[in-house]
Amino acid sequence: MDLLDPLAGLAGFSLAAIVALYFLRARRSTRQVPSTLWWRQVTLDRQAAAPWQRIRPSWLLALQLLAATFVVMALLQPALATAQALSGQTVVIIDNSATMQATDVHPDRLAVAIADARRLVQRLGPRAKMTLIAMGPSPRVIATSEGDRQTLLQGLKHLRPSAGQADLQEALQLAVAAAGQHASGTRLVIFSDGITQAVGQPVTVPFPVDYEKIGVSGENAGVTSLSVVPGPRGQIAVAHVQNFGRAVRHLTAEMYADSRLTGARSLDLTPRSGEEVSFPVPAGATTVRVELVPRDNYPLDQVAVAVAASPPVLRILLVSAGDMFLQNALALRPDVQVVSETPSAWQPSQGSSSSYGLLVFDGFVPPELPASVPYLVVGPPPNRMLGAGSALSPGPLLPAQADDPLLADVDLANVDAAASADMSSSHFGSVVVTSAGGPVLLVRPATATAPAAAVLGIFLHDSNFVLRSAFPILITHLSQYLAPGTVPAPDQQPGTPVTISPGPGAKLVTVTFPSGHHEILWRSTKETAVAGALTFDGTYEPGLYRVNVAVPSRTSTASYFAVDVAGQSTWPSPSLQVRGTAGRALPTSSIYKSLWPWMAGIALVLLLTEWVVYHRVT
Amino acid sequence: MSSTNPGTTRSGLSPAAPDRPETARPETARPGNSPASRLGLTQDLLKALQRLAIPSRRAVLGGIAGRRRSRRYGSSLDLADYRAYAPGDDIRRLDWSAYARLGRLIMRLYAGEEDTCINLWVDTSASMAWDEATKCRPARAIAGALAFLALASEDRAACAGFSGSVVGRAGPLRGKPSAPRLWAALADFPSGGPTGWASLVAAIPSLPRGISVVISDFLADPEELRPVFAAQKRAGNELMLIQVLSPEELRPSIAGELRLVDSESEASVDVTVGRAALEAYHGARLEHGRALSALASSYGATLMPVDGSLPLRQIVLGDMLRARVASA
Repeated sequence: MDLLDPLAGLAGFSLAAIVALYFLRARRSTRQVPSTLWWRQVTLDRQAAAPWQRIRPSWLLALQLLAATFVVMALLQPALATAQALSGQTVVIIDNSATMQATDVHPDRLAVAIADARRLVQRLGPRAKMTLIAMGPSPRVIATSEGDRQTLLQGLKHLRPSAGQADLQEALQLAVAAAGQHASGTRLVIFSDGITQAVGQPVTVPFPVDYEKIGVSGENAGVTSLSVVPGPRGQIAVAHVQNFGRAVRHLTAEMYADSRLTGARSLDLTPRSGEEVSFPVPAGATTVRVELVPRDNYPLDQVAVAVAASPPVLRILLVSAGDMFLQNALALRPDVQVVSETPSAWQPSQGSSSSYGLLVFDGFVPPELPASVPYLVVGPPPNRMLGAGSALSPGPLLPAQADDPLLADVDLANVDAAASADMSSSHFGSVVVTSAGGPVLLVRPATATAPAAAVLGIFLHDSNFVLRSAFPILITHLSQYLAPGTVPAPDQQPGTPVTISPGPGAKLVTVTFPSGHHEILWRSTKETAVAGALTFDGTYEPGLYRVNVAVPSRTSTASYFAVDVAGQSTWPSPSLQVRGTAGRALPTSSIYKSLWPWMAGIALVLLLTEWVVYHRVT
Repeated sequence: MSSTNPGTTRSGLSPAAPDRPETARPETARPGNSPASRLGLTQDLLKALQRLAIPSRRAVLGGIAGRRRSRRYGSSLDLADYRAYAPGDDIRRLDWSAYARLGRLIMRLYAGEEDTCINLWVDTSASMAWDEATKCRPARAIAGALAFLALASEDRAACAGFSGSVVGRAGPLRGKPSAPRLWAALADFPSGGPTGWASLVAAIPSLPRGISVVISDFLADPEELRPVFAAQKRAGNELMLIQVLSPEELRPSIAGELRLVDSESEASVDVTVGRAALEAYHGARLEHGRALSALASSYGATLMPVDGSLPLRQIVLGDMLRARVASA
């Protein structure tokens, strides 16, 4: 028990005052009587008349002293320390990654973490500030408040698990940003199982850190990968099953083709061992699913889904006098079909045809630029629409902007170009590659009225560019930029944005989630007639996604992509790669349960008793 | 032609309504304009008083014929003594049969009957005035009743009020018609001031010899009263003491830390009134009563304590008879 106001102990002098009053002659009220003859005989009177009198045992005195004692105790504000209150600023990171759905703790790790965080919120002091950060694949601040617990509790209430892996580094950056200028008064508490994306070296934060480990066991076996590959007699689904636990697991891998059980294999997996299993995929099957039974503490990675159907083919029309390098580079994408024709065969109607997903003009510019189909112009002749002038020697090629994704893995250092179209006066688009002679590569994204397009000014025949590895990489990047695949690579990770290109003429694009609900991703309007590349970032739900593209001129096309949670170890990590300043994050001032109302109540009862006793006695 | 006024007695008295109980308590007495009403004397009480008398322990030596046996020979029917005839004696009282037997003239002497004077000394000091209802009025009502008793018994009656000095007096008067004058005087005695026993001692000879009744609270050291007793004895008076006390004196209701101020001397006493103090108070009161009674006995006086809160009828017809202050 602590005393919140020890100085109130000075009130204890009141006890001495009460006793002194009993020593002192009492202040008396005057009463007239006929005669004091008989009163003078009263022995007690003679004692009372003395200025000081010997104190006599008295119930009244005892009760008054007791009452005063309890009043003094109430003033001292005795309190029991029931918990530690949080003061200052507290940043709480709650791991809501996929592994937090493990059920080795009841009901699962995330629920335990939320409960722990809720208890922390309840300990929030009156002027303390708290920021809650959800640490999933994309960490985000879910609530921040100064003293308002309800806001924080609501944030915790709406926190949902994600399917990806926790990004500790970004979560810590958010925490540092949330701390702002008050890092000295900030503490960081992380509720996590410690399974995060790899961090190269320990991250240092300028405040104390407490890592509250959630989870006790990592006994888990899961499907780490599932792919459909061509086999000698049709497609084969190949799954890799890994036992991450420390005990031997006896499992059965079941394979479903379009929700129909088509095969099963028994597996005996020793600790930390894996085994590949393969199943023939029935012809015509769209999807395959592999499930492991029985389930364990982490059911999320015991199901894997893969797309068996071939994706729709993207048709690219190459209008060129003949350039094998360019044609081969375009054909590197697995989902494309390249069709060539000469410039003389070009029909203006092809510029708005939905037959092609991408038009590539090599040394040729059509009289009218395509109105709806994305296009790439390589080595253009002088053209006013493109802003291309006569040929010039560009000199060394340089990236216009560092870290441009179009130039990822594109090494321009050893590329020499003897001639390039003069694009110095072009306003076609943003510059991606430049040179001493001006821009070399310009791109422009799709707009509401125009498709995406790019112009590569280099005349390929007068350059060693086609001989460099940078060439096919750049062409593939440009191809994917201008005409992304309708269905991305089938093995998507949870939380990864998916780029969907519905193609020319699409009017409606909908995505059906694994849980069955739909989301309209894009709808054609007068203002946005061209869909271009659409980004779908709702891949937080593992399973099979269906993308439906409605094109008026043809039947709707459905394509699929799968989002799988790759099997992984779920053993809680004993520590995090975080280094904070010295000291514990949580010890703070105490939350007290006040006892003074009880003391005051007892004092009141004693005073009432004293009143009763006084009137009974007198 | 004579007529009877329902509110007037034959003696011309105007008592309080007869159907109302006589009481000394102010809340029950309804004072009227007549002296009897002011003292709370009702007609019923006065009728009852006519059957009583104030006894005396010895033969009186009055001046006027009355009902009391006198120390002188008189003309009553009671034979008192014989003596030899002397010339000039009333020959109607010669005992002729004795002369026939003895040949000597012997006079028969009969007992004399004279009156006496009832001297009513009423304490009007501040201590008596402290409680009008239970001390002052009862004391004067008792004196009024005794005065009427005396007048109805063919005695004389006189009254005097005293505190630091004699504040008023009336009488001696004789005959029931004189009663209102005594009552009026009793009712009009001014109250207040300290009790001066010396003034009483000085005033005793001013009233005829007879029976002295001192009505007071006697809240004084008994030794202070001794000169009063001695003076009464010297004056040849029989002495009766009626001590009127209020309920607050008999059963104090005060409590707590108090400073008690004497109503006469203004002297104060600090007391803590609790159970023990009250017990000590009652002990002191009883001791004082015993000492006063012993002193009275030593002078052949009668002491009658009276609770002033009791009805006057109960005091007069009950307590006084029991204390032999009055007799049937």
